[in-house]
Amino acid sequence: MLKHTLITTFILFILWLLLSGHLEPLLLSLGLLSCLFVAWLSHKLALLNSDFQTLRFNLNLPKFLPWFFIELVKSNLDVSWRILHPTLSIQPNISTVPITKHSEVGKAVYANCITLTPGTYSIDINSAVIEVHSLTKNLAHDLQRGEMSKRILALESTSAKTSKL
Amino acid sequence: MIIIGWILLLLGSAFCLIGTLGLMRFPDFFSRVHAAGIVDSLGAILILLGLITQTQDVLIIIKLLLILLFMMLTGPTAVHALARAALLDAKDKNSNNK
Repeated sequence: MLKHTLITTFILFILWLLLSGHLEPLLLSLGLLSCLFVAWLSHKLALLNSDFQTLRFNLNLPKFLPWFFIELVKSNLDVSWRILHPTLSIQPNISTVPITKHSEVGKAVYANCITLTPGTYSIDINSAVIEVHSLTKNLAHDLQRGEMSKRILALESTSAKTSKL
Repeated sequence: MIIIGWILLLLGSAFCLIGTLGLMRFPDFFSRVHAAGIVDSLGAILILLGLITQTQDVLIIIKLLLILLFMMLTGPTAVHALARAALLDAKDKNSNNK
């Protein structure tokens, strides 16, 4: 627990340095004090456990992000094209995608990734499925083919390996 | 570098404009959210990347990247809250009519 509090203080202080850019001793010590205070508060509120899971999770993102960014651009162009097209060819519909294999963090990441790509967003979530509203039938079928689901599962499995090491 | 920045900023503004246009053209609330999503994702990303190219100060670049990160985290949360509220509201109205 003490280790977690110290790591939190360290990360907060780095963030404080990057945001302020001040190097005077007085301001530095005040910054360090406030970081310690916040770390102590989060320790008191028992916020630190879940945070450390996500820190491990982030180490595997470099593989996932480029693919996700390309998907993001593609779906943006698709929806933009539909907006500008005079016939406005959309078939709004609600479908579900299964999330039984994902962990808690994985579910949250999956739902957020669905929402971040325009054309689809998650309305509701429970332990088994995400309810997705999509702008066209094709987008719903793309999601149900499960490419994104697989990639997020891969993120989780590599994070499980590193947590053992 | 400045020219690349201008291109990114103009493209970002164009996507924001398209998103706003979609907000007006789409027929119902749930599809309008998709149009707003364009402003939130590619519009915001391109404008912030464009702004990054306009400065040499590392601290400002870090701040802009942090803004991008927080937008990526808060955007979906807001969309989810809005959509869920709309869905519950629609269910409410249906049950009142019956």
